[in-house]
Parts: sequence; C-alpha cells; structure tokens
Amino acid sequence: MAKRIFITGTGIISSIGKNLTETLDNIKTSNSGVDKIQYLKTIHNPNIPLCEVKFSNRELAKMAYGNTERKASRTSLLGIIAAQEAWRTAGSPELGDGRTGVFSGNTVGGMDLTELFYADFMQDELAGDIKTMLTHECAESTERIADSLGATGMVSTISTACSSSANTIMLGARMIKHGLLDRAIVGGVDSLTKFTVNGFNVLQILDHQYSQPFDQNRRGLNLGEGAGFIVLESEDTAKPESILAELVGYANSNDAYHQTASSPDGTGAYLAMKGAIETAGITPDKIDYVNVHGTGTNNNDLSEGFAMQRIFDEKIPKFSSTKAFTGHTLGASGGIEAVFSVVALQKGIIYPNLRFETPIEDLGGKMIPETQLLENQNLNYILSNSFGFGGNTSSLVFKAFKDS
Amino acid sequence: MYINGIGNISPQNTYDQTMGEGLVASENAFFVCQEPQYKQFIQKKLLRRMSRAVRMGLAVAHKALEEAKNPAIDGIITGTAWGCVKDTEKFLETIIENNEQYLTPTAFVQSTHNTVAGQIALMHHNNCYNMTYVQGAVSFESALIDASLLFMDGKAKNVLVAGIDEQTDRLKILLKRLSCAQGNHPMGEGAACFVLSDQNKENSYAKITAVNMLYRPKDKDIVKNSILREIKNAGLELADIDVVMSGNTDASLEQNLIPDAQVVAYKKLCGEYPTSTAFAMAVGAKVIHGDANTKIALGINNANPENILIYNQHQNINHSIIILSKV
Repeated sequence: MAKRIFITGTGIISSIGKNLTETLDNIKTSNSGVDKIQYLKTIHNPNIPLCEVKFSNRELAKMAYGNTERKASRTSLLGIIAAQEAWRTAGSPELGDGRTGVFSGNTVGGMDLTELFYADFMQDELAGDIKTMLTHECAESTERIADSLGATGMVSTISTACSSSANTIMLGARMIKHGLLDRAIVGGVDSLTKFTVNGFNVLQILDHQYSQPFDQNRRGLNLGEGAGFIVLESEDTAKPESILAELVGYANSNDAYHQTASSPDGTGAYLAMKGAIETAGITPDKIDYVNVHGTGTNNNDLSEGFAMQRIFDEKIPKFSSTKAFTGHTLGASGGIEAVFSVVALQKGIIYPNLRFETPIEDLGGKMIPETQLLENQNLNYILSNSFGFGGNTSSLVFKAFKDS
Repeated sequence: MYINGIGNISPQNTYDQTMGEGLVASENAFFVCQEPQYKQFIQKKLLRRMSRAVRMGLAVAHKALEEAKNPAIDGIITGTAWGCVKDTEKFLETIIENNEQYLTPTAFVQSTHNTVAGQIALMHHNNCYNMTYVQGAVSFESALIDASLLFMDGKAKNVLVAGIDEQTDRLKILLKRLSCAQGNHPMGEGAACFVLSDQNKENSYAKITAVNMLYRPKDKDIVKNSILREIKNAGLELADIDVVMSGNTDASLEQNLIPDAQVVAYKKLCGEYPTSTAFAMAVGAKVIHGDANTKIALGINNANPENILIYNQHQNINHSIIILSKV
C-alpha cells in the first residue's frame, strides 16, 4: 500500500535571507537579492551582478558549526544551515536507525575551495593543501549535512544540473511511498564559484542587469547561491500538528534535444508537468499556481511557456518566477522553490515575479505572471518546475494540508 | 531485477568479449581502461569533442542495449563520483590560465555530472526518466536502488543503469598525493552498463536479488546484520552464498560472517575507484552465467556458483551490499 507523503519542515538560505522569516520579510518588501558582487573574487565584478548569500565563509561557519575557524566548503556550510532549519522546524524527529534518508542535489560540490587549490597546483604539482580535494566531490556537502543530523540511513546525492534538488524530493517520496524509509530530508545546495559564473557567462546567458523572467525583453539569468531543504515524512510517522503540506505529484523526463538548450516546443518540460499532474491524480485545471523554472533566458522562458500552453491550454493558472528574488541557484533551486511552494500553500500567498513589464510576443502576449504579492489566496495545488542542462526536466505537485 | 544486457569497459579486455585470456596488471599503481573503437557507433565529429567518460558511457550503453536486443528503455540512470573530470579540469585550468577571459563553453557544458546520461538520452532520442547519482563509493548503488523503485512503481520494463568513473593525469597526481594509489592498492577506472528488466528472458545473465547501502554504521555488528538481512530478503540462507566478491583490503568481516563462501578480491582486475562495484556486478553476472574465463580471472573455484555477494566499503563511511543470483 502506497504511503502518503507529508512535508513537516522547511529550511532555506539564499541571497534574500538566512532563514525562512528573513526570506519572507524580503519577499513582502519586494527586496530582491540581486546585487553587485561582494564575496566572490572574480574579474567580472562589477559587470555581472550576482545573488550572493550576504555572509562570509567565516560567518557561515559560525552559523553552521558555531565556530568561525571551522574549515568547510561554502557549499557544505550553506547546506548545513538550511538542513538544520528544516530539521528543527520538523520538530527534530527521531532518526530511527537507518529509517531516515538524506538526499541532496548539487552541481559543483566544493569547487569554491578547489579553485583556490588549483591555482597553486597548476604552478607546482606539489603545492597547495591537498586535503582541500577531499571537499571537492558533490557528495561531500551531503555527508556533512547527514553528519550534522547524525543520520545513518541512506545518504545520496543527485546531480542533474538545475533539476538536481527537485529530483531528490522525488527520490525521497518514492522511498517513503514504498516503505523503504520513514522520512527523508531532501533538497539541495550550491555556492557561487568562478567555475559556474564563467561557464554561464561564456554561454552568454547571464543578464548583466537585474533579470526579468518571462519578459519580452529578458536578457538572461542572474546566478545565485543558497540551499533549500524540506522534510518528508510518511503518513505513519508524521505528527499531525507538524504537517505543513503534502507532496502528491512528481515526474522526471528528458528533453533529449540538446546538451544545454531546451527544445523549442518544450517537450521535456511538457512531459515533466504532465507526468507530475497525472501522478497527483488530478486534472491540470486543479493547479492554482505554478512556480515556474523561469530563469530569464530567452530559451528557457519561451520553451517553458509553450509547454505550459500545451498543458493548460487557454486557462493558464497564476504563475511567477521567484528567481527574480533569489537568482538561479542551480542545484539548490528545486529545494528553495519547494520551500516557497509549501509556504505559499500554508499561508495562502503567491509570490510576485519582480521586474516583469511586457509579455512575450511569441507566447501570444498572453502569458502574464503575477507581479504583486497576493495574499489570502485559496490554494490547493501548486506545480513547481525545475529544468536543467543535459535535458533533465522535473516537476512536483504540492497539495495544501487542511484539517477538515 | 534481471540483468539482460551488459557493456563493460575496464582495464581488462572486457568490451568485445567476456574476459580476455591474458590479464593486465596495474602500472605504477594505476589501472587504465582498454577502450574499444568508438567510431563504429559514435559519429566522428561528435567523438572529437567527447571526453573519455562520455565515450565510455555511450559505448557501454550501446553494448548493453545490443545484448538485450534493443528493448524500449524506460529509464536511464547513471552513477559517477568523479564525474566528467577531464572537462572539469580543462575549463578550470583555462579560467586560471587566462584569468577568466577567452573561454569557450564546450568544456563547461560537458563538465556536468549528468553529461553521460544526457548524451545517452540525446543519442537514443529518449525522453524517459533520466537521473545521475554522485554519491562517492555508492553512486552506482544509488542508481540501482532508483531502478528498483521504477520497477516497484510499475513505471518501467527496461532500465539502463551505468557506473562510470574516468582517471586523468591530473587526477592521478592528486590521488598519489592523497596516498590513495599504492603499489599494492592501485587506483583504477571503468564504465559498466546494464539493461535491467522485470522480465526473465532467455538472454538474462543473472538477477539482482538485493541492493543496499549503509552510511557510517556505528559498529561491525550493524554491517553484519545488514548483510544477513539482505541475504534473508533475497530469499536465501547464509549457506547459499557461494562466493563473496570483496572490494576490501581487509576481508575478514565478510570471510568470518560467511565462512563457507570463497572470498575473492575483484579490485585486482580493475583497481580502486568509486563505481568499481559496477565492474564487480558485470563480471559477477558473467560468472553466474557460466563464463569460465571470468571465473578463472577472479580465481573462483566453485564450478557453478549460484549466488554471489558483492560487498564493498570505503573508509568505513559508505558500505555497499549487492547480491546476484542465478536465474
């Protein structure tokens, strides 16, 4: 018998706040995290704006470990901070020997430290602190998160580019559904590095101004960093008073069109959304809000828009891209946006798509995102999209949990 | 889950045959893969831009599919700890050398860990479920568990599962400095891919009757009990395990736990690397299927092993348990 999956905790850190409270305050005041570069050492300062978490590694180490001297990659630190908040808000449930999974999505691991090491290493193969390389792998941050919780169950890391953390949510749900785990902390983390900034820059998809997702005149994306985690629990173990929302739908597909670009008709996006809505056992008209992938690139927004028109036909639900606030946090984005989706259902709010001005002509000029924070909304179902390089596309459906 | 097709690129001659007769030893504490002629199934212009990780991944997928008679595939799942190392190095080095200027995107776009799974989907025009696990020594096990979930969900008939890790010259230097590569404990690399199916076919090699992983088990008893539980869940008795393929330098735990089984060390053929259990599963399945060369290469005495336990652990952090059984 398939188990229902409840969300009992949320944790978030991004350029708009180190926890959920700060994040929501900044959303209410339309205060986006895009800014000129303060922390990353790069020649692209001040030409490229980024959404940095506004703390140094020492400050993050204090928050994660209570110790500014603690050496860890920025990725691990951000991950621990958000995962701890998620776990705490879930009421720090019993880990239950091996019955709690820790699944995190990530794209560049400890590249922030690798870059520093490599500059020395390229000069002299014996130079640099070799221990740095032990923090390079993507799994490292996941293991530090598991250790910070004391978890000894299944620990795994997914790297499917920008859909990584949506896929961890799907994995956690399926493990619990089949009774293989009682609960899982799922989501993802990525920190800003020269590697990613230069990679996206050379692909010419970075906006040198503040990004405008789903706008006719969009110029690209702003890169961000952060972490977002949610706690999933089986209906057998979730305490009713802890339940925030329910995860009812998920699907993963592949666009199989191009290594980095989305297909013009959004095949992968369409299949992911369709699959997630079907798993939820509902029809598309039941979706009240879509948290779109909406990176702000020419290619993504057009292809995602077409896919949405195919799914919803003329009746496009309310939608917005929260990446105008947080930037594109890559491997963390699905986790961060899952937190946004859960909170939206709980509080009945819909987030504004900042800086939107003109609808995209090729989408018939009719795809207009929400531009103001909407409150007192009666929301039952939210669809969240995460698409990435390599054609990876995933969608999730969250359902409001109402006592009645 | 039945194994209906295998593609295996390893330091041994395992791609076009089950196992070459002359076995290759490591050199200077490293094993290097024997690679096939790629141009038979990858276009030349594409091939030129592909790193070894991607080439090997595509080649083993091709072989596994061919062996399984090209069934429709419902999932593509890869495991890789190191990812596309070569392209990662290439992009990183150019950033440093050129001070973040005059870059080209090719290495960057091919550096992401999901490149192999994405390229398999692209090459086979397949929109199906697509996933990449990057969990150190249990990346491949994560992929296997995901495949088993697809079958449980009733979402799949055939799933492609691969474990891939590539060495590079730079990585070798780093591994030496980390004291990982030693004469008696060489490092290796490899790519192995499987068509897993819920259907027992005449060409099935073996079935996977258990897969599990442990993270930082508190003591040895937890490991032993987990192995015993997996044997039981596979519907077997302890005495049914004929061979243990161990990835561990000290194999006393598995030998003491299952004294009647022969314990063999598979890494003497492929070296140490995070997805080495994919190699172990490939050769283990061939042994169960009755391949004499592979049995000799591994030093297995049992005439007809029916159940093989693959047990590997990395620094007592990640433990992996896989059981293969005769169909």
